Amino acid sequence: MSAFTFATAQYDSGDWDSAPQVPANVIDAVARYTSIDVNPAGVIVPLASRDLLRYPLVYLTGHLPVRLASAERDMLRTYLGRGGLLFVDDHNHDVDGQFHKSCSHELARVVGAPLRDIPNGHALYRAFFTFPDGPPATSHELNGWGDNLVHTHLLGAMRGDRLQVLYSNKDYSSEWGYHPDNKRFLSIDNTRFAVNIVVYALTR
Amino acid sequence: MTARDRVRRVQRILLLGAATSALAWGALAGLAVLAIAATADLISPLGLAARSLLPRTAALAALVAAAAVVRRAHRARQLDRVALWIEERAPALRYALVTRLDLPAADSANRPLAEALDRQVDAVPFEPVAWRAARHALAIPAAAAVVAVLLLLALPRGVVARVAAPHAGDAVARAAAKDNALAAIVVTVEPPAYTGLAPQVLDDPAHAAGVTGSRVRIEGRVAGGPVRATADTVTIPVTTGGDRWRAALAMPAAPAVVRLRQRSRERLLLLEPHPDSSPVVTLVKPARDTVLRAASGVLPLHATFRDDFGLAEGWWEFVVSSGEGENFKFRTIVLGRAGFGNARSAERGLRLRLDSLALEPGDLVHLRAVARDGNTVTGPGESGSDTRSIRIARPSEYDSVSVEALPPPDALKGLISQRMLILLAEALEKRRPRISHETLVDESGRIARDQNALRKQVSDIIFARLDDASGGEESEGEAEKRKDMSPDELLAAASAATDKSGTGALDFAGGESPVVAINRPMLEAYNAMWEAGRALGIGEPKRALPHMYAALAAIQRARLAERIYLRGKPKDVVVDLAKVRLVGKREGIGPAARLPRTSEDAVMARRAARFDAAIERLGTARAAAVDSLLLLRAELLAAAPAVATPLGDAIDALREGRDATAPLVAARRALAGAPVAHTGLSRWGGAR
Repeated sequence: MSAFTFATAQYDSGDWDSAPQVPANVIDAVARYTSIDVNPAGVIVPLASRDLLRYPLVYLTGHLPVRLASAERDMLRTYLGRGGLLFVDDHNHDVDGQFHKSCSHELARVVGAPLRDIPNGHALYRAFFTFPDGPPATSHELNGWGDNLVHTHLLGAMRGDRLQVLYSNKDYSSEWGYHPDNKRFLSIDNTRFAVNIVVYALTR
Repeated sequence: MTARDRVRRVQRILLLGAATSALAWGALAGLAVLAIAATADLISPLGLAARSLLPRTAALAALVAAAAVVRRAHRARQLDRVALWIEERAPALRYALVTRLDLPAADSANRPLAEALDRQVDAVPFEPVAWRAARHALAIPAAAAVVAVLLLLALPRGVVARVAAPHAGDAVARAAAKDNALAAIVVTVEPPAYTGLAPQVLDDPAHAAGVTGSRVRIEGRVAGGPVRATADTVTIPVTTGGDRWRAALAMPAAPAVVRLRQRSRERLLLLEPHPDSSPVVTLVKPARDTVLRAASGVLPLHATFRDDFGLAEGWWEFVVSSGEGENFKFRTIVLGRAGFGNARSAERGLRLRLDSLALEPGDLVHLRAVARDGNTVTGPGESGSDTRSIRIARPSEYDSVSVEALPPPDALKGLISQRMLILLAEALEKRRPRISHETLVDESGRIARDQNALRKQVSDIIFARLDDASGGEESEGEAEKRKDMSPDELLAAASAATDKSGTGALDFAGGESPVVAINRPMLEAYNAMWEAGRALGIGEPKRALPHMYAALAAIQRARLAERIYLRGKPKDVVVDLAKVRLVGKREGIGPAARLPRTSEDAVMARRAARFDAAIERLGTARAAAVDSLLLLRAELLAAAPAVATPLGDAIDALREGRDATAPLVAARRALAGAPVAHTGLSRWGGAR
């Protein structure tokens, strides 16, 4: 039984490395709240690499348009077919932005259907912590940055009864983009939802 | 009428009788083939392939039978044989007829005999015999043919048509089984008009394939109670008209099982959709991403397009990203939009003037070719080529893109000087026997001064790096002092300076201080130069040379040392797991059970178990086993197409009563998979 390793997807187009602090923060949250055996540092895995299949959860973010090469698309399709969960976060927090438009289009091509709203009663929101109102809002949404919207739902694509793609316009990449030592300044840890994503990926 | 004329008349009667008899026997043979086949089809339905042979088989049988009759009657074409046939059936002629025909007509000597024979022949009326024989030859086959016709008429409606004019979709023409409206069905798959494909009619199928969005019509004969149809959880309306019931639905996007139910009966129909593929677009030019110094000139673009049914239109798409960090602006530009006229493949080119995009330094252009197909039902399908990125470099980035020649670095200057000093020292040592001691000491002293100057340059290189790291905290006096340091003192000073920096940002193997690790070859050179300078200073170039060679080698190593620039790489944060483990507040944690996910292999194992159970059931409940295999196939169509294909063949074979061993074995082997080792998604034991 191998330890859980947080993987960040590297893709040819766009700025895949725009949120370098997120992996450590998620790893910190997983260790802080669960007994999951987790590696202390994340890995970067090229989307076209077969190494992708070693990680049950892969995180993808960026600001710039995402155009997947055919090798990346094929490997991602294989990965999702093998039961992996791709967590995509729009670092622009802008539903009219190029990242959202291009990435959601690419994902629809990979999974064969457009992304749909995930109901706020979905098991994802009870996988570890309970979020009765669905996905937690980010300070970027509440401050009116990006598209000036508080997104009430996350998007996703299902494979059978489980999520294969989880897509967020809420900019968790900015929300979680700080050194984990600084969590002590927060009254409520805003990375708790990351634990749900990890636990969901490992249990469903 | 002469005797010859009368025989000719009989000949005509016999030939007429043979011809009608041949027709009757032919008709009988053909009708018999059809009647037997129709009866057999009524008892057990014959396949379309077998039935397609029946019309030709019936015609062949008719021809053979008629030919046999005609062949038997060929003797009637000879007049003397006809006469003999008459003599045989009219003994009163006493061979007068045969004899009369043999007499030459122009021989006057035989005239009396001829007249006597004519009288004798005239006295016997033999034509009725011929008529009787002709009627007799016709009676039996005609009667049999009538019986065959009556039998065919007695068969249920449509049965004769199935054997006489078989065609796809006549499965429901057979008589309905008693109270069973699901005994036979016909499925018509009508592809969308944009595909240009012809409708497909399937008799009694277990599965039907077609392009997603095709119209699927299911038809059967009314018998017993009403028929209900569902696909997954959706009810399909069933209408009744005449003696037929009909249900229609669109071919879904994913494989689905249509369940037809009548009372306790159930029949499954697996719908296998073939998705209309999106166009395949390949960007040929530009072949790779690039960085340009200026946004000017012409960029040739070329792309190829393909689609399975037809391309509607295509265009070039450019997304220009401006900005950096968190602030980006985007422009989307579409050029060259044009129709393809439903062609299945096409090529397009464009000469893009970069000036027209009004690009600024730092802008990034994502370009791709896009095409849309003519799918008007589930589409249109749209897809683009791989994206190429063209970036306009900022002036601050020119160092990374410039190819201008640079002056040699400081270390290289040192290298050149050290070589020169070695050459001078070697020449001096060669001249040593021919020059005075004073000259030797004088020239050696000059080389020593150059060597010391070079040593100080090396010292500056070493400490220049250290000065950068320590933020210039070293005072000017310290720098002056350093110039006269011995190697040991220099190393000690370097280590001390490293400790003083105290940043800890650099990490080196073996516990070396950064300055030592970075400058080790240069420090070796410095050390060797020190020794060489001392030897040269006392007029001993021969003793100095090994140290000078060592200095040169050390500088060479420094020059070849790998330089790694970590520009742009984010800092790696390694979480101290032991420190943070389970220190978070436990509020808000849900009580849900969290169990490890099942592996993909477990899913395949369950499918294999279902397959094995169905095979075991084949002996006792064949129909149920086939249904189980059909449901398994519905699941495998998307998940494991390699298994679904032989499984489909096996289902067809089982339904048609053929030997299904080979496809079942192939399906089982495909289900088990090849014994390969691969890295899978990591498993995990659970969370608390």
